[in-house]
Amino acid sequence: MTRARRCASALVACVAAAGCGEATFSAHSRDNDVNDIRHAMAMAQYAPSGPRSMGYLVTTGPDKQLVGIDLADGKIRWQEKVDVRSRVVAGRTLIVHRQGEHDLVGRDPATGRVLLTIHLEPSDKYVGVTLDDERVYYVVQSTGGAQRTSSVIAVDRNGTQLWRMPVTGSIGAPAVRGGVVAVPYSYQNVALIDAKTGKELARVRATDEQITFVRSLPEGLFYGGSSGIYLLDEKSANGSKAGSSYASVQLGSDQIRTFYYWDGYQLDQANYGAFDRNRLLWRGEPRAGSVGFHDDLAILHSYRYFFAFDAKAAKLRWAFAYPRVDVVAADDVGPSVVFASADGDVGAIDTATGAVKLRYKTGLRLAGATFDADGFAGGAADAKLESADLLKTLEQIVWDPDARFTAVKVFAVAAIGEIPGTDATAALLKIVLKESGVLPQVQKRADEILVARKDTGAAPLYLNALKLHYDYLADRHPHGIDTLARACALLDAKDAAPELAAHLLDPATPQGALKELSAALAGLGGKDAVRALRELLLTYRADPMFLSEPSALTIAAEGLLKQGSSDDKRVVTFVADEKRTIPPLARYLKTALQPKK
Amino acid sequence: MKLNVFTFGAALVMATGWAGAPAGAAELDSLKQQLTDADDEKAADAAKKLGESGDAKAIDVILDALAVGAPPHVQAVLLGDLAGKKDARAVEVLKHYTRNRNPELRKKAVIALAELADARAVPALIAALSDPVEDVRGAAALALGKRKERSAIEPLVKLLEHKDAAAATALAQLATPELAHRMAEMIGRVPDALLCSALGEMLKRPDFGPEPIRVEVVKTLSKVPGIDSTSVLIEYVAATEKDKMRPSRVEAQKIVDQRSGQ
Repeated sequence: MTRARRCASALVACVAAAGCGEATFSAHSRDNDVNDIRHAMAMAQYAPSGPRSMGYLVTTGPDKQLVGIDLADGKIRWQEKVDVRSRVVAGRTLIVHRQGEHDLVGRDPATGRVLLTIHLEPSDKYVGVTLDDERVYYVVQSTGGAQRTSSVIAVDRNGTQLWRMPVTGSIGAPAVRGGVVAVPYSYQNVALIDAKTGKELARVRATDEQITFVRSLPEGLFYGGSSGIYLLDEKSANGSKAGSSYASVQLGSDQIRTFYYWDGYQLDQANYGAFDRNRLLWRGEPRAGSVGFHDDLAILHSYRYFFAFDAKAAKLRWAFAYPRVDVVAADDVGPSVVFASADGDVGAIDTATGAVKLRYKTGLRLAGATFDADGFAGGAADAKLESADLLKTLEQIVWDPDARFTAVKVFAVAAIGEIPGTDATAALLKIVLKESGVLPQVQKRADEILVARKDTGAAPLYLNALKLHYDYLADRHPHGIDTLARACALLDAKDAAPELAAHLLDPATPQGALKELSAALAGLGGKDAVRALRELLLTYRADPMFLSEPSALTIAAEGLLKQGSSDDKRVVTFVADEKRTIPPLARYLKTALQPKK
Repeated sequence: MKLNVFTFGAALVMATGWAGAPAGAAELDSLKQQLTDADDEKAADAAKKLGESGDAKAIDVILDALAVGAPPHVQAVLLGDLAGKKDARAVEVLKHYTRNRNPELRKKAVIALAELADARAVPALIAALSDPVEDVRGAAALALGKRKERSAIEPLVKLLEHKDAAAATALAQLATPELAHRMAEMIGRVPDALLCSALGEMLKRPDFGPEPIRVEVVKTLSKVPGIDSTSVLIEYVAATEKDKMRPSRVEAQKIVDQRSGQ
C-alpha cells in the first residue's frame, strides 16, 4: 500500500469512527454527510458473478407450487408444493420467500431444497427481505398499542440471528450490496447499515420527495420514490433532486402512471399482485457524474403490454402486446426483458427491438414470478415469433377487446399519432370511424390526434370515409363525421364539400356534429356548401331543437355572409328579422349584420 | 341549379320578403299573417284553416310557409294539410321534409307523399325505408304496400329481415308467387309472428294466387310451429267457409286438425 493510500484509509477510518457513533436509526445521527456516504460506498462493492438464467414461478390456486425454471433451455429444474406468501427474492446461492403465516424459508436455487427456515414472531408482519452469499436480512413491522415498531434483522445461513436493529417508526424493504444493507427509513431517509454488525454507516435524507424503495443492481445502489430514481453516490449528500444523481423517465403522456419500484413500506406489495403487472422496468447506471437509464431505455409494463421509451426524448421505440392474458411478472435484465404470463408462458423480449427472442410454454397458471437472470440475452430474435412492427402492435393494443386498459389504449393512440405517414393516419381514422367497440376516451384522443396531424396525404381517405352515409337497411352507421369535417377543413379539402353538405342535411347525423359540419362548409365554400348552409338555416331557424345550442345555425349564417351571394345575405337578413326565428339566433345575426365601425 | 325547395324558399325571400308578400284573397292573406304569429296555437290554427280552405291558392301559402321555415308545431299542421290536398305541386317540399331532423315531421311528410299519385314520390318513400326511426320506416312501408310499388320489394324484404313489423303487411300487399317462395325461405331468419302475419295477409287477398301457390303458402305456415301459424290457419279456414273444397283450405284444415289432435 502506498503512503497516500494508507493516509486515505486512515482518514476514512477516522471519519467513520467520528461520524457514526450513534445507535442505528438514532434520531441524533447526522445525515447527508459526504464522508459517511463515501465510507459506506467504499464498503458496498458489487461482486461479479457468472451468467444467470433462472426464473422462479409461483402458481395460482389452493395447491400453490414454486417452480424453478432455467430460461436457457426452458427446462423446469424443480417443482415444490409450497404455500408461498410473498415475492420470491433470489440470490446466487439462495432464494428466500415467506411461507405460510410465520416462516421465512431459504431454498437452494438449483434444487428447491429447503436450506433455512426463519420463524417470524406472531406479532411481526413481514415487510421484505434481501440476501447475499453470507446472510439474510429482513425487515418486520409490529404494531403494539399506538406505536409502530420496525426492525431490520440479520441471520446467518443457519438461521441464527446475528443482529436485530429495532426502531419506533417505519422501515421499508431492504436491499444489500457488498457489505452494506440499505433500507428506506421514516419515508425520507435511506439508512446504510454495516451488514456484519448492523451499525448504521451513513444516512441519506431526501429533501424533495418521499423515498419508498432501495434497489441493488450490479451498476449501483439506487433509491427513489414515485417520481424518479437516485443513484447512491457522493452527490446523495445534497439531498435534493437537482443536487443528487437523479433521473426520471419522460413518457410524454399524462395517461400513464409511472411506478418505478415496489413501495417498500407497503406490506401488500411484498407479495405478487397488480404492481408486478404495472411498473416501469429500468436499469440505472452511473453516467458522467450523475445517473442515467441504461441505453436511455425505460420499459413500461402494463398488464399484457410493453412500451419501450427513450427515457430522455419521451419517444416510443417499440411496443409489444402479449396475446390474451396478462404478463404477471417481467424484469429488465439488460439485453432482454424476461417475462412470465398468467397462462404459463415464460420468455424473453429483445430490449433493443421488442422482438420476441424465446418463449417456453409451461402450461402452469401463474400468479407471479421472480427472475435471477442478469445479463441473459435469450439468443437471436426468432422470426417465427411475434413481429416487432410498432404500428401493428399499437393497433393491436387499441383494438384489444379487453376493456380494462383505457389509459394504455389512450396512450397507444397517442403513440400512433407520433408515427409519421399515411398508414398511421389510416390507423387513427379506423378508430375514429368505428361506431362501437372503442372506448370513448380512446376515440376522443384519436379524434384530436387525427385532426391535429393535418396529413395532406390522407385527404383521399377522408373523402372516401365521408361517402358512407347512414342507411338503416344496409346497416351503415357512419361515425366520426364531425372529426372528418374538422380534418377536411384544416386541409382545405374543397372536394369534400358535397359529402359534408349531405351529412349536414342528413337527419341521422348527430346534433352534436352539425356545428363542425357547418364550420367546415363555411370555411370551404363553393356551391354545395352554400346551398347546404342556406337549407340548414332556413329549415331550422325556428326550431327549438337549436335553442340551447344554435352554433350550427349561427356558423351557417356567417358562412353565407362570407361565401354566399348578395341573395344569400338577404336570406340571413330575413332570418334575423323574422319574428319566429329562435331568439339566440336572431340576436346573434342582428349583431353580425350591423355595419362594422 | 338543382330544383330545391329551399332554393325556392330563398328566391321567395329575395323576390318579396315572405312576411310582406301580397296574398290573393283577403282571408288567405289574413291566414298567412297569422301563420307568423308569435303564439304557436294561433299559428297552428291558421295552418289548420289553410288545410280546410277550398281556395286553390291555399296550397301556395302552405308551400311558401314550409319553404321559409316555421316552428315544428306549425310545420306539422302544414304537412298534414298537404296530405289532405293531394296536390302534386307539393312533391318537392314533401321530399325535403322526409329529411327533416324531426321524426314527427318526416312521418307526416311520408304520409302526405303517399297520398300523391306522382311517381316522383316513390324514390323518397323507398329512401324513407332506411330512416333511423321505426315509425317513419313503417309509414313508408305501408305507403309502398298500399301503392303496390313493385320496385320496393327488395328494400321491404330487407326491412322484414330487420324485423320491422310494417314490412310484413306491406309485402303481403305486394305478394307475388315468387315473393311467396322467398318468404317461405325466410323461416328462422325473421320472427315467426312477423312471417306468419305476412303470409296470413297474403292469403286474405282475393287476388293472390293461383291456387297451387296458396297451397304452398299454407304448407309454409305448417312448417312454422306455435300459436302464430295456427292462428293464421284457423283464420284462413274461417274466411274460406264458403269454398270448402278449395285445396288451400283443405290443406289448412288438415294442419289445424293435426295440431288440435283430431
